[in-house]
Amino acid sequence: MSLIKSLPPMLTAIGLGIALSACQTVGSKEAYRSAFERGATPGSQPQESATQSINAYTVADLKPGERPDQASTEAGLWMMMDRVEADLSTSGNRITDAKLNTYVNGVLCKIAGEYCKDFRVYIMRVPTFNASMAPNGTMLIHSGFLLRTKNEAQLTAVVGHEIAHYLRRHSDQRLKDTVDKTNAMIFVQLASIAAGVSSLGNIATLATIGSLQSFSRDNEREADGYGLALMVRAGYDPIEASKIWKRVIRERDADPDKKQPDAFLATHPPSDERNQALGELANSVENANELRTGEAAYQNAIAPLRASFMRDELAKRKYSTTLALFDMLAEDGHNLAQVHYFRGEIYRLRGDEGDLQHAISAYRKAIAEGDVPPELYRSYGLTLKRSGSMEEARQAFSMYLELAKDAPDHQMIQSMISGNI
Amino acid sequence: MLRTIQLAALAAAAFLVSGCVTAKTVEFKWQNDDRRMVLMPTDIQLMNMTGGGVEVPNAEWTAKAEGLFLTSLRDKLSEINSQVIESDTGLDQPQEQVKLIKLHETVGATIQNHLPGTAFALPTMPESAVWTLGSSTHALKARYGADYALFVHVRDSYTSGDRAAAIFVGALFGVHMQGGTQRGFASLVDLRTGDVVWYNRLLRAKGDMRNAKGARETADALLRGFPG
Repeated sequence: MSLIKSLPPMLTAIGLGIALSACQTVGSKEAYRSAFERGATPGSQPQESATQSINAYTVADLKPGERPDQASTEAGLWMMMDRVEADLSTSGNRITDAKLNTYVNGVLCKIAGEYCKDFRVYIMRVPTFNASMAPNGTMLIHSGFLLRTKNEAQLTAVVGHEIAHYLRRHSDQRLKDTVDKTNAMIFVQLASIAAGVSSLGNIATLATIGSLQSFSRDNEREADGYGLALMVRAGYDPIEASKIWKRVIRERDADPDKKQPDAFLATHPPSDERNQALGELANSVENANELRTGEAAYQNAIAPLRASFMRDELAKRKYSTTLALFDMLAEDGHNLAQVHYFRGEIYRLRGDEGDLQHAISAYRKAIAEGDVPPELYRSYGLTLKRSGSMEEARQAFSMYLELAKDAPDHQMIQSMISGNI
Repeated sequence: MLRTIQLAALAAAAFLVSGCVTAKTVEFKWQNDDRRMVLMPTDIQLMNMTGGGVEVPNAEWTAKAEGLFLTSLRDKLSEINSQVIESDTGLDQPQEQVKLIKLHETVGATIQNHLPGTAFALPTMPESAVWTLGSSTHALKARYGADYALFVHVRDSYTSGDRAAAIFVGALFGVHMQGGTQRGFASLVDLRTGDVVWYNRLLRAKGDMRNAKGARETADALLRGFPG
């Protein structure tokens, strides 16, 4: 019994040591740079990473076509994700548009090179800025991501980042990290109960959570740097990677409810850090400005679906951030009639002080650009009617009925024209 | 955190005491010549529970258990039902089938959570109510020419050496910790209506599908009360 009594404090100390050591990462800039250098030769053997926590689980990159050994934890992850993928393939949210899928797969193959066949892309109709990679090569791209990126180079920056998660086997590394740290945690908790100081167990739990998230951030830094190298190798201008984060920051700053990301619990490094680190790395690439951005090809590819992506953003009813996003799209200058129409829709739906006038002026800008959707005239008419310009409203409604002959709301709009509603 | 563990352990223990419960959603009897039943691809996953309680999926065990369990299931069914039809599996599966397996996972888990007579039974749900997968099951009836389908879903985790040590040390100090569990359910579905006509669940801290004997025992337990 005396042995057990003296053990717990010692175990506690050891456990805390394990849990906390991983928090001591090197300067984050170095983490990006070393991954960038390493990404120049994908498929390489393990070598020292600048990030100590990642070194603990150093692995060789997956080789093209490589499958994990059946007895490994990695194979378990693949099995689980194979099932998730089967579910995804039949998901109602999946965008199956053949042209868009062919385009995105083509871009993926340009940057994945000999790994091309290891990935399957699923484009999902979700209006958020996100993409993810499963350990088995299942890649998810949200429609909100496709709307927010400006060109092919920005698409490859994120695809490259996700490919890096796959090649560097980050899911398996994270699983091993989680298993080891929770193992340590449970014994620390038991030991602290035995020692009669259960508060130590709570500290250990917190330390473990913080340490797990810190490991996740280190993975993200590595994927950023590595992805940037893949992008340069495929001939894309690396400065576009940091520009994505500038766009994200601008949208975030427009959010009235924005919360400061919790530095302790965040799974990803702060956007400002990513913007800066990726920008500095890109500036160190020689003749980067001669590399391509692929803007026209990208905009052509998403053009047929862009209106539906924008409508999904409106449905979020997060007007401030959506306005910031649509303003950026207006600056990009593609299909301005469409962008101004949707800017008008934001003002019309929000209905704050002065928004009626903002909406009217946005609709007018759209009309001036030409080639607007028929629904614009309905919205324009409703806004004019609300602001008291009945004659102009009638004209807009008539235009709508002329352009949308089979409109289901034909009779209602007709009543508005005759002044019955 | 510890309080959470204790509460979770208590809740789990409460569940485990109830063992496996048979829920005949409706009194069901085969009509004589009406026993064509398609066996859907079994949805099985075996996991290793680590010291810290993380369930790590294990591909090797799962592959082995899938083979053993399927053999046991076929043996068991051949004793009570002579017209079992095999379904397409893997990439040969039609989309409708994949969707129905997904739907069954959700419906089956809901039945499991809200079984009449248990702590989380739905207070406003009459006992005569029938759970159903809906008319999308017609696609399976057309494809296989069967009137019934059996859906099976099992998740099975095993206590690792680390976990066993944690449980042992915990017990010394009066802390109860959960080891590996076997959770699963099987539903017999009438493909003409989509209704779940028979259902059984497993929720227990025993069972081992990694060997032939254990796999047969699990199949027996899961199909206990299956209409013969």
